[in-house]
Amino acid sequence: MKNRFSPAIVMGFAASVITTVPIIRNLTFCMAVPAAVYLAMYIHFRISDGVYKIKFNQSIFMGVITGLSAAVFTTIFETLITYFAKSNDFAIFFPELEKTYRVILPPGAELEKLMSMFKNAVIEINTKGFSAFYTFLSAIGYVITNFIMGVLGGILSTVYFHKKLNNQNNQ
Amino acid sequence: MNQYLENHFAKVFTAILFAWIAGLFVPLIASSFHLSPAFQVVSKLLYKSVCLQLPERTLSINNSPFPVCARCLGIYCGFGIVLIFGIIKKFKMMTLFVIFAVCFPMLIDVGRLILHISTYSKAAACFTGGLFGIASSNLYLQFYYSQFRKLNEK
Repeated sequence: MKNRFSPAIVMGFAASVITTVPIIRNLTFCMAVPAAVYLAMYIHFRISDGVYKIKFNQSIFMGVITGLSAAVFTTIFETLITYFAKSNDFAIFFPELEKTYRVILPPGAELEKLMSMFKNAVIEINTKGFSAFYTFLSAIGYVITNFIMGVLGGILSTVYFHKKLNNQNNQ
Repeated sequence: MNQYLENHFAKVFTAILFAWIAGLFVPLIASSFHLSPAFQVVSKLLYKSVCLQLPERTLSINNSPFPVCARCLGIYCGFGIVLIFGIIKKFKMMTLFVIFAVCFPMLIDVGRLILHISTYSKAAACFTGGLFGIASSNLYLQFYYSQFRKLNEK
């Protein structure tokens, strides 16, 4: 049981480091979590029997664990980095984002209300280094996206490993 | 409920994937039909964890930027299009060699960028990403078909 979870949690941690730490994160894109699931499964095979055989439900579960651990660690890292740097990507890009939205969206009370909410979040980030509203929204975003990417990574990796096993058996 | 989910997981998850890909076009639809501005900001925050969302790497239509970069957009569109065709009509699967060959242009494009051989090209990123999406979708369809085979055997 312990062996099944530990590669997933470790690789979730690694994915969160890759997607959060500045400079390194410039090299990654949407495949960071699926790649982490693939590596978690690979490690799982290496530390168990060394055979690339896994059922879909096991791999999906592993993907979910990797995705959720990546979401938790990413939220923690991002909150810490924002706290110490008193800035983040959202705070940097918000003025430009606001300009774009004011061009493409019709003016109105709703837009002003929304913009003031996000402006407050940016001010909180720049002064205190923490905004509960922003952290809550981004944590939900991380959980949803990493869950989907984790399951997808689990499915794709299993199909790949099954193909690899078939090729080995044919040879 | 559990048995139902187990039997229909492929369908449910494929629907989630379609919703995920369709979500990329929400800002475009929201700005075209003058829907709530919340759609724009929420989609930007939702896709933040899977993409850097750098403005200079993002494609836009009618001044409305997509919530992900050109490469990610290519991957999702490639994935979605092949998935739709794969569901409508079952087709032959790629071999591992072909899958790697199809993914290779994207690796070259990313490598060029990392080594500063060339600058970021939205068209190249979108096209090579699309090829990668096609290969990934092909792997996913194997899972999709295998789940239906299992259901038929039951």
